[in-house]
Amino acid sequence: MNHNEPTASPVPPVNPEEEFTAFMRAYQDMVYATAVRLTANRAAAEDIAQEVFLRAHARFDQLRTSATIGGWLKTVATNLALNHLSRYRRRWRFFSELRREDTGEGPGPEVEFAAPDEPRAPVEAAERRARVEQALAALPDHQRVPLVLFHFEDLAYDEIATRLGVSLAKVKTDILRGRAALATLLRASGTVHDPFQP
Amino acid sequence: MNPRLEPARLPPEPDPLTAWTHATLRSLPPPSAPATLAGRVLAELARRERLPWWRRDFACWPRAARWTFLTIAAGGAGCSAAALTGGSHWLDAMLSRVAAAASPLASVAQSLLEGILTLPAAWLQGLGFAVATSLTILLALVTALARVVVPRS
Repeated sequence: MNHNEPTASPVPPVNPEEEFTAFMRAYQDMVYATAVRLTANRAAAEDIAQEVFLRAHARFDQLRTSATIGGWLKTVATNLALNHLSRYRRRWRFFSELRREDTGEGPGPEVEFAAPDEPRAPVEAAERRARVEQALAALPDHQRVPLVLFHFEDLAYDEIATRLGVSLAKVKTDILRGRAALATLLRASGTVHDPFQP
Repeated sequence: MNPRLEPARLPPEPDPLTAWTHATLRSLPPPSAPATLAGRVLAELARRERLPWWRRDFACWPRAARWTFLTIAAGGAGCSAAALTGGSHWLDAMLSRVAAAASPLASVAQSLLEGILTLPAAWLQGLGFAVATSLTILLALVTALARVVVPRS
């Protein structure tokens, strides 16, 4: 877990304020990444990351010596992001058992990618990563959120079901369809030719 | 590409789509946080630091204020519970005493009101205008004083 957790320890600070600033700069990418991948909204992710660090500051005396501080930050960021989705995007609709996607309709929405000049030409690495991020963000919430929780946050299916308040079968179905939709989007954009050998 | 497969979450031999998705997603570098994030957090911390204690979280209140608040709240809850259950003669006795102590004041107020009602109508209008003007001036003074004493957050 936490494959993107910072490994380099910050320079020994002079006072608590500098120590907190150094701590924040060390972990801000990880916290922001968690929030932005779940919400697919940069402004909301920045607000969430700010709230995470404000909460961390309130208990910084305990956290500074904790070995699981990265996990704590990720958990808080994940919970706040899910709360945001629940509050502002009516998660009950996205995660409802009666969602139409469960009836076997197509994957995610159509997304417009910049058309490659040569469809068979290899895409530059940075461009390719940007397209993957774009495709991930384009997935509907009910597919993207469990997909992110599984592949980035390393949560098991049952943990995801508990977090989202949906059934285990629903989580498995959404993740499966999310993967298929992601592959379809990337293939359609010319980012990959054979999704299973990218 | 480093697939970074996690055996704890993926089956030992994941299907091609699962393995491809995992490898593709885990190859993404974490998006960089906006350069403004740290500044925003520090500015918000400074703003909260400037707030008076009663506008902060309860956990940040002075210990005496917290205990006073808890004592009053517990007392109020106890009185409410006693009143609701109807089992407290003590509360009835206390309310009776308060009513008895207030009765002389009520008599004075009644006499005062009767005296006022005997005044001419023009006098009453002038008195009402004076009272309204005084209250307006008092409200303005209190507002100005509050803005001077309590800094804006």
